[in-house]
Amino acid sequence: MAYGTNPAERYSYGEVSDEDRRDFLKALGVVAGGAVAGATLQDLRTEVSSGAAEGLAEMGEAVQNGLTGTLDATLLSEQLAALEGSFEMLSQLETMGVPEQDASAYQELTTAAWAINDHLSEAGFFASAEENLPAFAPAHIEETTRQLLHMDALPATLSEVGFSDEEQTALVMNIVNTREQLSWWMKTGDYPPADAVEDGVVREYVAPLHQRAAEGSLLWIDGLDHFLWQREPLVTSEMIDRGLWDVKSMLGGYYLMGSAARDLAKGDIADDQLTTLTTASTALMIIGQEFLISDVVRITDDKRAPRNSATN
Amino acid sequence: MTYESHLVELPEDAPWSEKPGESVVDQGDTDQIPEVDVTEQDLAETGEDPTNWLIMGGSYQSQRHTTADVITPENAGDLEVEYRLEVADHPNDFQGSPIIVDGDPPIMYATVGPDLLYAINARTGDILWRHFYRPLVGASDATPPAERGAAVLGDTVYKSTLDLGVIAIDRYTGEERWYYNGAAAYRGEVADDLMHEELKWERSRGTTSSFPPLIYDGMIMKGSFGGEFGVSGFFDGISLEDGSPQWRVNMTPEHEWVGDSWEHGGATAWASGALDPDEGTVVIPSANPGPWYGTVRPGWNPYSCGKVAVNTSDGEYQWHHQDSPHDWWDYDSPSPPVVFEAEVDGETRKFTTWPGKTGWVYTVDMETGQLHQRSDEYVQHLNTFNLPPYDDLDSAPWIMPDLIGGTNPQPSAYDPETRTLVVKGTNYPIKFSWFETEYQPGEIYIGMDTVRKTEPVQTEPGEQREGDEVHGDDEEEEDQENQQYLSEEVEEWNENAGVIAGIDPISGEVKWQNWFSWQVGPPWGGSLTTATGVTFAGGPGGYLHAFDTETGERLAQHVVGNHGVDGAPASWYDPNEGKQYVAITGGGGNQVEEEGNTIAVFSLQE
Repeated sequence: MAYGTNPAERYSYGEVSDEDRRDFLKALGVVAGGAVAGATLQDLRTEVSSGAAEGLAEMGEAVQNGLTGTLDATLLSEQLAALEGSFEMLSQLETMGVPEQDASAYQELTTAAWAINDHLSEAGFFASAEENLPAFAPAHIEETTRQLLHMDALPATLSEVGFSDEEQTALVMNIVNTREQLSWWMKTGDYPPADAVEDGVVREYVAPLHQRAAEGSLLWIDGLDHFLWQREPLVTSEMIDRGLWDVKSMLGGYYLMGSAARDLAKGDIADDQLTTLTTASTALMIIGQEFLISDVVRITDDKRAPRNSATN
Repeated sequence: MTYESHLVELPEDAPWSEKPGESVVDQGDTDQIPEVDVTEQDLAETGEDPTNWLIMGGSYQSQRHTTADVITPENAGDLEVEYRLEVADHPNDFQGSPIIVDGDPPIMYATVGPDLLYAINARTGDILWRHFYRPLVGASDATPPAERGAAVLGDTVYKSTLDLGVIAIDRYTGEERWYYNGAAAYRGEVADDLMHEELKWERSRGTTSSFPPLIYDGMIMKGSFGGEFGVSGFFDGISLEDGSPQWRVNMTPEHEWVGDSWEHGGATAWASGALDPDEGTVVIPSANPGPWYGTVRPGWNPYSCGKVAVNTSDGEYQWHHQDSPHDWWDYDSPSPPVVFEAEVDGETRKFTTWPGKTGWVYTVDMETGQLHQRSDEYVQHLNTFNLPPYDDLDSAPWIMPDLIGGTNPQPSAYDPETRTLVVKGTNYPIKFSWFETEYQPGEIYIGMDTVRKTEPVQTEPGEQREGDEVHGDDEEEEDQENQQYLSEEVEEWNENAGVIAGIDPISGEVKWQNWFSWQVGPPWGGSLTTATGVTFAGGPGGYLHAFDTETGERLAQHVVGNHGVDGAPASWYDPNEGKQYVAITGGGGNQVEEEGNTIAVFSLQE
């Protein structure tokens, strides 16, 4: 994977290096020195100011006002509880390695998330988010990340589903350190239209940005049972390990989004935090799937398991 | 993941049997065509029968292998030209094979772009009739779409048409029998008139569904094209009895795509499939997903860029394999698959194998769809799968294979004796960048910048690749814009444009590679193997090449014409003459500048 800023070199698999942290802080305008590995979100919070939240609050309010249906707090709570169980299954998947034919272990991770997804879609959540939130421009990523660091509840929420302190930090850093690739995911109306651009986009067939991120994540996870089984001759343990981090990141993103929706249904979330969590969770799902593709799906010769030339 | 619900509704009130275009039939001495009833049994046995070539791929399994044994490695240089026939009004772009029905004389059926079908005395080259179908939507005369062959059964010859139909023609007279209108409905929606609005555009060179339809067990099967026009791909099973649709596979199964993105998802089935007649399974090649911007269609984007196996009786899903899931590089998978048996760990198993535009050969268990082997590279790889940066050609790395491949629609050939798959590959570097354009309504811009490198930096005057110095105004302007990139050295590139290679599909070993330099361009078209160990393949310089199948040693080359040879060879033995014949269609406007319209037939007396 290569882009202008090569986020592949800055993506963290749950462990935070000094360089990752420096890149992250630099992007947020903080020049850091010295050894800083093992940082927690709390540590980062002390170095990064929260910034202004007024704009984020307005957006959050607009997202809420743009809903076309009612969010069901009970449904969301139940499905979030079920989704917590998916995180517990990840270690079993590591042990499992390459799935057997017709296995469904990866698909089982997403059952609850699909239920949340369908509900959010029916309530117009995704459409409202796209309508009222900016796409992933650097300024918006920076602003929401500052807010994210200063959300008291964030570490607790992520801890609920098994993210260690260092993994939590890696999640947040990945949002900032892979921001260029995030910017490729545009709002539907920003893609060049097919009637003006050869190979352009027929917008009526394109789902809202946040829905693409969310459902894309679930589709990628669902397909892993089949893909890993089918490509067994190419698959390595490193691919599975990295893929599991990507999957965990996506599910973590989904859990944050679902939690924000549940709190919104309860009237228990500030407007700016709704914006922050919707943006951050969407970013995590985008990043997770982009890196899953790179880590597991696109298998170059240098990545593949050695060719077994066994013949008769 | 479940793929069972991938069949499309077929509205009964659609004009399935109405022909949108017009036919013109020219008849010559049709009495020369002997009455021979081609049966399904004949089709099943054509791979073993040296006297005919009834299926474009040489057999249901598409092995492109003849059991005729007059030609050997020792005498492959002794072939003589029987005739060179010029067909069609304009130079053309052949990419398939003629078919040969045995008899006295044998009859050749050959297709030429756009939508021409010829019946030819295969012994003499006499044209016996010509059926010209002029489709309702325009076919470009300047760049006629490539043609790839016909299909035959009983007294009927069948041809795919450019408006997504199948035309059944009396093979003795050239007159129409019936027409199947594949554009009568689309995504379950009946066309307002004879063709659905979203399936109308000018047919030009490239990925048309001009591969011959496949015939098996009372069914004729045909694909779709138009991914570059946003078409969601489909693949049809049609009754041979009356031309009515039986089933249609949605090549973009909707529940596996986000939102409605499947409706614009591409994955057309424009290339030719192969069959496992024992199980009644057809393996269908699939094209790239649409649109090019991957972020509007997150997920795997099944069944794009790979192969999908379905039951011939009802179209039901069996398995699929994607060479390039969620593709950004146009790495679709049009090369026809080959079905073969091999012994692995003491057990005889059935596989299907094909080379991808990705530059590897995939070998998949025919029953389960599990990958058994991915070969070593047979073309170069460089920064493969690097994503094209956004509006930034400067940062874009040189990538190999380029968007042409690897292997494009070129059919491979298989030799069961030596377990060798003969593949063709292209070997150019490319830069990609996608960008947001400042568009004006009514004006078309390209949403992706590409710079292909077909020459090394240091070339002497007169040393350019033939055709590269000839440009239209647009190309010249583009060249000037891209000159800074074209003058970049790509150190890793071996400066060969393409290759013909022999690969063991079970072990994945590349046994041999015969490279073609950048000066002549890449080999296109298909190949053929013989039971005696000879491989025939066309090349970019106007030759029919002969190689030793096991070693790749160059045995001989014969002149087809002064143009590329993009067709795929076919071979048959004529017992009345005591000769083995090799026919190849020579066009070649795709990757080399010189086009042609030659059907060349060579022979060797036993």
